[in-house]
Amino acid sequence: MAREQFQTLTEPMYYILLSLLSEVCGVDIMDRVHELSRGRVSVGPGTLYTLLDKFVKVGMIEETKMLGRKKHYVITKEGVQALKTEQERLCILLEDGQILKDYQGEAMAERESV
Amino acid sequence: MKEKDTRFGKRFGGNTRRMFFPSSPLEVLALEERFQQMSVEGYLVTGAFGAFYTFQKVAPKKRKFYVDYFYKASELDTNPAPSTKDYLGYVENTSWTHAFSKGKMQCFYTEDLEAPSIETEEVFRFQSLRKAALFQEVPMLLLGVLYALLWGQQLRTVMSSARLFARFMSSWLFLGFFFVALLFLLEGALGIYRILGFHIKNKRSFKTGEGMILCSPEEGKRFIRLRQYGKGFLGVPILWMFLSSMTNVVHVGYSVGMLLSLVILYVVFSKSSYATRKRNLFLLVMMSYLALLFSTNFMTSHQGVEVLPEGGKPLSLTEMGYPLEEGMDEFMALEKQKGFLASLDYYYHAFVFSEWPLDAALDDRLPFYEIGSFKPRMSFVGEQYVAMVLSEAQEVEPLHRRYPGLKELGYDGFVLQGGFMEIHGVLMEKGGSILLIRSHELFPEDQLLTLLMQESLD
Repeated sequence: MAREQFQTLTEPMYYILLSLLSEVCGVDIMDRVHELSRGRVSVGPGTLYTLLDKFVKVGMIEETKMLGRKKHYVITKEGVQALKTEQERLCILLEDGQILKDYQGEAMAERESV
Repeated sequence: MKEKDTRFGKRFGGNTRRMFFPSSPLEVLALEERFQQMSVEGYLVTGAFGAFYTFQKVAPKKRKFYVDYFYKASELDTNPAPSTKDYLGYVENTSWTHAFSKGKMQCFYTEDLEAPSIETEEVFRFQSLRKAALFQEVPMLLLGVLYALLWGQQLRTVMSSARLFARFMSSWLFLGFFFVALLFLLEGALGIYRILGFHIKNKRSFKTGEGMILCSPEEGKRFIRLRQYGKGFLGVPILWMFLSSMTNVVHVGYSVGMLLSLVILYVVFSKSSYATRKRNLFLLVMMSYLALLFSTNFMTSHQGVEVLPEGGKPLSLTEMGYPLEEGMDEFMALEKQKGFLASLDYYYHAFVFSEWPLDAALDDRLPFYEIGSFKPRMSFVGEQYVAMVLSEAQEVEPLHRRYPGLKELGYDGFVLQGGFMEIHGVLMEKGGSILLIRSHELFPEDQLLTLLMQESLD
């Protein structure tokens, strides 16, 4: 069930996994996501906690060490695979969307004039 | 303002305020908005106990609040569990500050009104709120079902005999518990219905991309109207209770108890959030209704009321200065003088009689009209079946109109009530009527029937 949930990744999921390509402390993930998305995506602490918990449960990330109260995580093979699959999906979307480049909007103009 | 850490949490000075605000997890927005209003007024929420929230005086400022339910936290945690500490650690790393925890409920605030929400994925918030609401409602429903099963069993026994049923209807304690069980069950069912509604609405709105739908107190006029209705609902039973207490000192205790519970319910009603208020309105209406029924019974019991057949002349015992349970000798003397009902003995607490003298021979076709034959309809009126009959009789309704079979037999009759008694039987006489009511357990039924028969024939 949980795996099904991650078949298509939402933006926060995608960026959290991206930020975990190198080992990072849980609380720093929010900043990493912010950096990676150039300020476009922000992950709230509640969402981050829930997602990290879920990712650990399905084995997409793993806990590496604990310094004080700070837990460190890193992505696993499965996580990388999920990221790749998502990226491929996004690439397909991008390729399919290429027709938009040739779209001049004549049909829309025609409809509007009618 | 100086900030101090105490073992009970943060204190910002001596000024503390408490607010009573019952709300359901499905309306966290209402709670957040209340906290924000208080913050603008210069009070910051710092703790909670049940539905009571504690506020400390701070510099008035608009702050943003966020109420979350964290499921790894427990009501039993004296100190935050490691998972809770982790969660709080993530929050502390942002501009949000932890205000207080109450079991699973976690409240945060920030002065940065543009700060991103703690839960940026609404679907997670939806899931946690749904879970929190279920945790609150399911035990209520289970309790309701348990009560209903127990009382259902009891009711089954009661319904197996007309006599038991009459006794059941005549016991306000019994009926009261039955209604409480019913209320519990309805409350639980309504709770689940609300969660289901929340679930379906949100599933639909997530699909259409509209985001989460939560209850908010900002429902304007409807909110105020509900409050007014609440006052009205409370006013009627209070007035009635007051009147009933005036009529009978013995029942002042009952009346005060019922009154207090109504006032408490009203306070809960008027202070709660919109959705909780709607829910409490149901309880308030039910309680008011029960209060009215109890007080109606108090008003009418221990009063001699008499209604006569069509054409008969009213003769009221109380008007004539004969309370039912006193002055029996004088009453009997009166009967002898008038030539009827003289054979009735002291164990009858109440009578209805006409001024027409009775023939010595009562019609033996129908000497006793058992209560079971009346097909009593379920009624909330009073603690007794008798009271139900009384209230109908007070509207001067002939017995034969309600029980048509009697008219065909040539009987006309009316009814009367007594205190904690049940109808035993109705003695009928053409043109006049007597209803005999006896106390419980004074005589075994068979023995009493024989007695009545003999006395009537004498």
